[in-house]
This record gives sequence, C-alpha cells and structure tokens, in this order.
Amino acid sequence: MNAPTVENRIATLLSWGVRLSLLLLIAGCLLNLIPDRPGSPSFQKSAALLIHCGIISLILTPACRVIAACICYARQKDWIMSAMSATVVLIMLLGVLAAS
Amino acid sequence: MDLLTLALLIGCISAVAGWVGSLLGVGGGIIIVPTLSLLAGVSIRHAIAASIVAVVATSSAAASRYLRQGYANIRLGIFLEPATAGGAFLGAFCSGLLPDQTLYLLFGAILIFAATQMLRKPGAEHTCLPPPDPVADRLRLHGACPLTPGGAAQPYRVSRSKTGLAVSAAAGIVSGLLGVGGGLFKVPMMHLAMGVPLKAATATSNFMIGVTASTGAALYFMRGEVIAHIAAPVAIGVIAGSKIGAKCLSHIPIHLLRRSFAVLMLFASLQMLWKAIP
Repeated sequence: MNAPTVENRIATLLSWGVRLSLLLLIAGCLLNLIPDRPGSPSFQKSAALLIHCGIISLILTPACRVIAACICYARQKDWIMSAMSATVVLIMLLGVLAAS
Repeated sequence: MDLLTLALLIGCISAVAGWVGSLLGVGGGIIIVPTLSLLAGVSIRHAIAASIVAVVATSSAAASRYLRQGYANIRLGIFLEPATAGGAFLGAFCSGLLPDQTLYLLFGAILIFAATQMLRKPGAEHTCLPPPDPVADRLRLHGACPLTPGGAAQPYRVSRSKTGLAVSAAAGIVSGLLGVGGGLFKVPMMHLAMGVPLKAATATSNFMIGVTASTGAALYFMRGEVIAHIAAPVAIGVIAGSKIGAKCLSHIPIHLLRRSFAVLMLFASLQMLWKAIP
C-alpha cells in the first residue's frame, strides 16, 4: 500500500495541469492585445486557438487525474476503486458525446 | 463596450470574486455568476459556462495543495465521484434545455440558501459516534487527518455512505445546472452526516469538485457556450484573486466580511428573481 505516492502524484499532475492551462490562457489574452495591421499576419486567430487549448487542457486536468487514479488502483489490485474511477471517465466521455 | 474593456472588466470582477471566495471559503461560482450577469451584462448562460471552467481551475489548484498537506480523503472522494459526475452530466444536459428565466430563478434560490448558510453560526461538533457503515468498512473509506496545522494525524470513521452518494448526486446536478462547485452541499454533508472532520470534508469536497465541474464544463464547451473572451479572463482573474486571498487571510475581520457579503448575496438573489419574471 503506497497511498502517499498516489496522493503526491495526483497533486503534481493537478498543479502542472492548472499551470499549463493558465499559461496558454494568459498567452492567448496577451496575443489578443496586439492590434491587427494590414499586410502582417493576424494574431487574433492564434490568440483564439491558444485560449481554446487552455480551456481544453483545463477541462482535461481533472479527467487525467481520474485516469491516473484508475491506473494506480489497478496496479494495487484495488479493483473496486479502479472500477469507480473508470465509471467517472465513462460519464465524462458520455457527456462529451451527448453534447456533440 | 469594446472587447478589450469588457475582458479587463471581467478579469477585475473575477479577481475580486476569487479573493472574496478564498477568504470566505466558498467556491468562485456562487460569486462569479451573479457578478458577471448582473454587473458585466453577460447572459446568464455564458456566465454559468465561464464560471464552471473557472471552478475547474480553482478547485484543481486548491486540491493539489490540500493533497500535499494530507487533508483530502482520496478514497472517499473517488467513492462519491461517480454520483457527483453523473449528477453534473444530468444538470449540464438539462441547463441546455431550460430557458434563461428558469436559470435566473434557480440561481436566485441557490443564492438565498448560500446567504442563510453564511449567516448561520458554525454548527456544534457532533459528539456521538457515527453508526457503523459496512460499505465504508469494506472499501476502507475511513481516514486520518491532523486536527491542528502541523499536528499528528487523528483517525476518523466514515459513516452513512449511502446518504453521501445521494447528496453528492444532488450537488452534482446543481453544479452542472448553475455553474457552481457544489461544496455548499458536500461539505456539510460529509461533516455532519458522514462524520468527516471539517478540514478533511472541505479538502475532499474540493478534490471532487474538480471532476464535477470538469464534467459539466465539457458539456458547456461542446455546446459552444464557453465564450473564449469571457472564460479566459474569468479563469485568470479568479486564480489570481484566490492566491492573494490566501495570503491575507489573517489580516481581515472574516466575521464582518461574512455578514456584509451575505447581505449582498440576498440583494443579488432579489435581482436574479426579478429577472426571472417574464
């Protein structure tokens, strides 16, 4: 039973996910501030792309955490906890499918 | 108002919301949605969508901190997560079918509930032992956490796991429907019904909220209701505000802030209910 490692791993994953997403969002917002000039490439499109990537990575952060927990518990042969995590992943996938 | 001014205004409002939220221990959602929709003129649907994305950010950041400090009960969190994620899915799905007026009405009601919770005096600690729970025993949901910062971990027993599942599902529905975290329901449920110490209940609720909000946010995102120039400044502002809030926690008379904020919430709820009238 190495529960502290599971907790630390998940904590690291969460904090890096949030950092990456915030970085993308801030970069996108800053790029949005650059005014478009005729003849030069538009920054607005790449800004929108960055912001979208930031939002997607933010939404994926807890999802990755659930997948990580699912794998960690499966390795410990704790099948019930692993199955519960897998159920959550399935519900999330179902949500994406239902909305698209 | 041009887009840049709007984004700056939204960023500032969200920073204040994140700051107040971290001082009062409420998630950003209950503050962000009313301020965005009543002050910045954002439609309630887009305010809810932006809020739920910001809730993912704040709860993930806070959960990572709590996990390192050993407060969050991961097994209990994972046990309750299928219920809350299912509820969030249902809530977010239904919000797509409901008219704006109904969302205003429901949010107004939630605000009144949150304000009365905030005005209540902190409840007495339960003294009687919680009844034994075979499910919690079998899944080893019991935990241990330090009762004082830096103190030794004290074990606690988890009880009434079925009640926990039911309330988690309800909290998930509210979260998906209205773009709030749902800690308003989860924390008292874990603390008062399940016998989890308050600090561990707050940490575990935060741990679960990331998944609840992310399930709802995915639906809003796929429906195209997460507007980039609203959601990005909200997420950045709330995170920045809550970081500042966590630093100045000891310098502010929380009691006065709680009271005045509860009054403000009641005022906002009246405005929301007014908008619900066709």
